[in-house]
Amino acid sequence: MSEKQYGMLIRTNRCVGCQTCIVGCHLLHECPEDVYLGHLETDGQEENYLVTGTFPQVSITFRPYLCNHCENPACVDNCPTGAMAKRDEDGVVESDPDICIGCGTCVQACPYGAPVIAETLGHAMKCDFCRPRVEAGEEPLCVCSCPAEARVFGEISDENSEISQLIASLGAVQMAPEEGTGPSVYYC
Amino acid sequence: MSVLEQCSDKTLSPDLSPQEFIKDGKLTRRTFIQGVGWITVASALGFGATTAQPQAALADEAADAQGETEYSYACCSYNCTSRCLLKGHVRDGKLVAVEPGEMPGRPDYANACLRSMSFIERVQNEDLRVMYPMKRTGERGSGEFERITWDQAMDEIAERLEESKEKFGPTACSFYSFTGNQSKLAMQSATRFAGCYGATTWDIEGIMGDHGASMGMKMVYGVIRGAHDTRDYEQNSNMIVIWGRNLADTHTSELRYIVRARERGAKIVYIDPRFSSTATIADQWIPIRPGGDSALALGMINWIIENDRHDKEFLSKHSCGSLLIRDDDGKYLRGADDAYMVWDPATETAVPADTEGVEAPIEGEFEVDGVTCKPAFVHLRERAAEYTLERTSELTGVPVDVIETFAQEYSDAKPAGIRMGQGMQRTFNSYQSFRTVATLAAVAGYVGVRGGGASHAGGTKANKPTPGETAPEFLYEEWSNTGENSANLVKSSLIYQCAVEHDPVPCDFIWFNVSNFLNQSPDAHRIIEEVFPNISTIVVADPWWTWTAKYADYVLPATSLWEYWDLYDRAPWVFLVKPAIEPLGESKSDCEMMTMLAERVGLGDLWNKTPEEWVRSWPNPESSAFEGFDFDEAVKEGMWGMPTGIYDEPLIVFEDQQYQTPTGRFEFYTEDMVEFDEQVPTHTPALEYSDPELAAKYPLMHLTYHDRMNVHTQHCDCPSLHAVCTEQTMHIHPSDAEPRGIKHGDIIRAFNDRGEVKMKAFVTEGIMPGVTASQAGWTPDHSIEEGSHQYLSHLTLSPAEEHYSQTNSAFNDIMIEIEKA
Repeated sequence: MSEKQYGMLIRTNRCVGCQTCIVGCHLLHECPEDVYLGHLETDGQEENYLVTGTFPQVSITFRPYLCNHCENPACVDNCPTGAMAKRDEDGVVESDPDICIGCGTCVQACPYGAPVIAETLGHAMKCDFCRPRVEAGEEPLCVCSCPAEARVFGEISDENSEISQLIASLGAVQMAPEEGTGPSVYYC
Repeated sequence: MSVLEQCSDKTLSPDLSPQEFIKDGKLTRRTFIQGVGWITVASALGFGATTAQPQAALADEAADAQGETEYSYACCSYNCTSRCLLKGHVRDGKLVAVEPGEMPGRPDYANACLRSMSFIERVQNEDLRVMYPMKRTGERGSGEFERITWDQAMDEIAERLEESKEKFGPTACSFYSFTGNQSKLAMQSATRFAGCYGATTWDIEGIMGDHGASMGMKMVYGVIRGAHDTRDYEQNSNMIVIWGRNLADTHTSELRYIVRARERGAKIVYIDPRFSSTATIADQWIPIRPGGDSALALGMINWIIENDRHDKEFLSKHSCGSLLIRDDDGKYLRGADDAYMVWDPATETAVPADTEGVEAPIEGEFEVDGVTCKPAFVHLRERAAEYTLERTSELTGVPVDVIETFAQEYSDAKPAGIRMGQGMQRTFNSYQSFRTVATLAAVAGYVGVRGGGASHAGGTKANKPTPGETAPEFLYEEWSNTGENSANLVKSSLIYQCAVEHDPVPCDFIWFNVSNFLNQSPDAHRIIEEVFPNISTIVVADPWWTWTAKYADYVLPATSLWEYWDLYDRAPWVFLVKPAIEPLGESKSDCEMMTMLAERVGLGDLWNKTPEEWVRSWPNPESSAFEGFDFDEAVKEGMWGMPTGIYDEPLIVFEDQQYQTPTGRFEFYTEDMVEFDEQVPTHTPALEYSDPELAAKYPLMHLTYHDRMNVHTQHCDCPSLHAVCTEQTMHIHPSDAEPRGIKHGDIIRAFNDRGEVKMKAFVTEGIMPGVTASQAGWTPDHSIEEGSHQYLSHLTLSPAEEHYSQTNSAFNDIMIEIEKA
């Protein structure tokens, strides 16, 4: 594990599926059309916004996905060029577009399919936890723009941080921990 | 340089610049998504060419960009009423991203939704923008236009304006500003011009479908808006009822306080025929038949009174409940000096309502000078008694036990707050829902109390008065001065008949701005086939080629909210907006356009300032609200937080129990409605649903709702929203879909006698059986075969509403049939 590890908590009981996080991220990272660094899923449904249950006893749980900035990232292990790397300073997993050849190995290797290949740019793109913003003392855009304050960002490597305490008190869990990559994004 | 490059190069001299025309009615949405767009550009020299796919171009520029990112702010002045401060990231003269801007005094309130973020794509898409003044060359609606100069456009428009005035008088000329942008100059310039010219302007709330809320509020509270700050619910409510308001999508700035309240333990109840985004964070969803809201509230009022849970003290002291009503004419009993009267049990006489020490009853029957009188509450109780649980259930589709439990929990909650929404008032006799739900809150004793109320719109507290200060905060006197003339305000509900029958005024010339009138008004066929042909001149000033623009004789390029100087006064803040980017093409602000027109009709001296000069002239340096204010510094931050502002203390509306109603009390007895037998809250059934013949032919109640994609029509064509949704869909319950052979994803045809529209079926358990719903805001450019949900809607004047104020479009009071296309 890196010295310091940023992570995120997503409280699905607050998420209304608006996708402000995903749209804002797409714009901020200047992604090409139809390239998004995160995506939304609706629990138990093939398609978003379909409810579960029978009228009128229905419910819906939205689950936004982003890069897990794993402890042992499969994308880094499998990257043939060394473009994909995990930063020791903060645990952020980043891809260097100047080195990346856009082969897509990272997408295949990631158990969560998190990186995306921007065909028009010829390289992979991925969530960077808005590192430039964080370094400037701001929150990642998906965190500060969430109208329901569903997301909490912070140092999961510090057990006294707000996020670590919330993860513990809410019993938040990682997605597919059995893959063994040690995700840094928790859901409750 | 290839011909294509030449034609799409905006740096060409005006003489060689391309002529634009719209290929209307030819391309389907599918073609559109492929990036062709419905505007094609042909060179003036006769070359045909299609513009490059806009997004690819933007992405390329972004990739190559080297410049520094700078920040510029705008006021999100669309009509969601959140009014967020948008922090724009600008690089190399382009907006590249948007994030929430922090508002002084309220760091918790910073907000920017997905619409406001993606909107920059639409702002900077030259293929969607009106780039130059355009004059129609083909038939109206053909979409054929030629480019002309601003001088030619304004000269010809001024000439036609004067012609209409000469022929029919100045009121036959009208200026129609909708809510497409509510910043001061954008929304008020055309109206101010109408005032200067003595022309007509329109009271827009009726036709747009928001007026039922205002009428209902006005009846009971005496004001058309009134809301608790959502922070009050967060801190104080034990139950929050969100009634007909999909706030999670449509008013995102207050969502965080609701979810926090829920985590604190407040029960969230959501009432809507549809399981919307807001229902996802509710503890209970109560599906209700469209138009049934007043019946549900009456059933609850009845249950509360029958169970002796009503707040008798409030009803006696602060509501009209103790005021005496004459049996003979249904009017309030009036005493000397027109005083409203109550019964004094001590003296057994009627005395003025403000008499000290009187314990005025809300029940009983009394003789006053030979006239039998009863307290107004008796009328409410008797009317509510008609709404037994069983009958209420029949009228609403809500099961008896659900109604009873809800009524009990609501009255037990102490306090419970209700957030009302316009979704429930887009039915015939639209004032009933707000009026009745607010009366429910009054009967339960929740009006004017912390954590209570029945609110309309989001509330933020304004400014503390400064003792002894008389200086106004803003210097609007010059802007308000329209010279010798004033505007002739006409109900927008009458606009169709004004055009066709010249009643009450002719409508021979119309100027639309900040308005996609055709897309947002009922019965589009009627507008296209009857209304527009009876108007000699139609001018549309808009940033985009809207559906309405295609029917205009002149289309003028207007600036968007990122390209102009403007101000939005929203105490305790004032937004101060300067251009973040250069205006696209030859676009001008609405204020600049009206200034040009004014100069041509002899009104130039009333329009002697630039937009920047107007904005600079308004903040009053003498007011303590602007103590320490430096315009140039404030405009860099996009807003000024007034030092007199109240930021920390949530607003509790009507806490002082002062009401601007005729009686000065919470007034559920509306004297003005006696002739309709609607003096007290009453359920009037949905118009089309209650017509058995119509309901047999078209058995599905259809409603249009606002969702996460659109405020109104301003956010179509934002490619970044493709992640969310790419087309309008028809929500339908499996029990309605299956008998019609409709499967999820099938293309369906929805129709009634007025028209049809095709879209994809979204088969869901999250909608009430017998009800269908599609999203508002989509336009024919994005619909299959250029259909529109507005071909299904109707404008039917309500005698009661026309009497009280004006008809509210009943967009959710429509019967349709659906079949597989």
